[in-house]
Amino acid sequence: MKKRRFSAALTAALAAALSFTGMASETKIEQSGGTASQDVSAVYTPVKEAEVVYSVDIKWGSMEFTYTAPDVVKTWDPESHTYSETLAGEGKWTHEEKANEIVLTNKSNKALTAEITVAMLQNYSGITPELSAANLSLKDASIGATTSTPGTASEASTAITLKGALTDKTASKTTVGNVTVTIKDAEEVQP
Amino acid sequence: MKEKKMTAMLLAAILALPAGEAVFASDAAGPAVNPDKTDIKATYVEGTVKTAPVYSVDVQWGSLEYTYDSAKTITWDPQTLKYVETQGTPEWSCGENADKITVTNHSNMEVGVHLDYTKTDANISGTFDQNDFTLKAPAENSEQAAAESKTATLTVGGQLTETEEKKKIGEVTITVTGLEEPAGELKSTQNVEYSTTLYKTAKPGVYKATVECPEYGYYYFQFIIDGTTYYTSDNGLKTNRPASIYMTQGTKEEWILDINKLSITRKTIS
Repeated sequence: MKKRRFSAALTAALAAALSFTGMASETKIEQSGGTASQDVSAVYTPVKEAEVVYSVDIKWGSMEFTYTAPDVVKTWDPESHTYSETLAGEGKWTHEEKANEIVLTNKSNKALTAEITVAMLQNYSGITPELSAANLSLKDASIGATTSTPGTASEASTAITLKGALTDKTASKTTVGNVTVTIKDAEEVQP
Repeated sequence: MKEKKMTAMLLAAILALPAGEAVFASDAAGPAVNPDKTDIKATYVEGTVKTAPVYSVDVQWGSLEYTYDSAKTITWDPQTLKYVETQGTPEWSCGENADKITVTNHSNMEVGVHLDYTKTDANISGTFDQNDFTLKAPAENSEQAAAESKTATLTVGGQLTETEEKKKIGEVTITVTGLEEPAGELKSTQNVEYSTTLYKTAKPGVYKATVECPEYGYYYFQFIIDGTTYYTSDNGLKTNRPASIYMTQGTKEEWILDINKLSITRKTIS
């Protein structure tokens, strides 16, 4: 019974507290000409930091590669009256200058990382791609920037080279694989 | 012995009669005295009921804490690689009821309430939706909750300079004045002699008087507040020299005398 009375009192107190949200204090004036005063205060809402704007330019090289098969040396066999063939060396992959490059320019107000992955199509699994860098770090372009002074865009690049043989002799600018660039926030460095 | 007794009775009868009404018939020697009587009359006059004023006014304050939003936003422009600052319309806000001041009168007399806002930050002003009001005395035997209360709302405006801490921007002061409380006498001593009572109002330094004009002409009214003598004139109050004010015979006026502004506001009642 005592418990119930206590809980009822508590409920009443809570209800009273809730109904006076924002009320700070109470004073009593007990004489004519009497005064009571209260300070008025203010807080300043700071200017919110700019939200992150992602802007990364990707400059792709043409990604056009040429496979030059190795020379075939045919040797005549007078006994069997047939040629036997041997390959002189290995095939060679070439490309125009910078055709194999991927250049990333970060204009975001955030440091980023880029992950570059290359996947060859199933029919061309004998070709092995290699990247000069599979992960790139891109600095925050807003470092040092103000409303009047521009920041600096950061740039990073990687290059693809192909190994192995292209067996499809009919290939002519045939798609043999694809490159994916995935942008992520750079991990915050813990102090 | 018998004669002595008769004399004593006669004397008692004389004393019982009101002065100036000697109604008895006997000669000094006669033995017979006719008895006479008169009524005793009384009148009841009500005593003056004296009640001392008891002031008890509750003030419930909101927190009076405000938030200033400068409405400045900063965005990143990846084309120019610069930040762009845009300015919206600054806003003041506060929590629910934080801007309310509720005054409740539990006194046994009507009170006037005056609210003042004093700046401590020159750039920020404070205004009330009502800053002068009166609160009636509660009826005898009425419940606490029946006491009259009024709520004023304080709105602040202006530009707050950037600050990280909560900052004092002003102060609200409430002054409670008992109405019907005489503050002195408004007296004309020259030309036309006349006096009336000066009453306090809700606003400090502002007084009220009802002035009737027994005759037309120039009245030389004066009153004293806190040792200063104020003189009435057609152009307001003077403190340096007696002045006159013209009145029309037979009119009854309500005067508001403001010693802060040295002004007189006159309103004809009849």
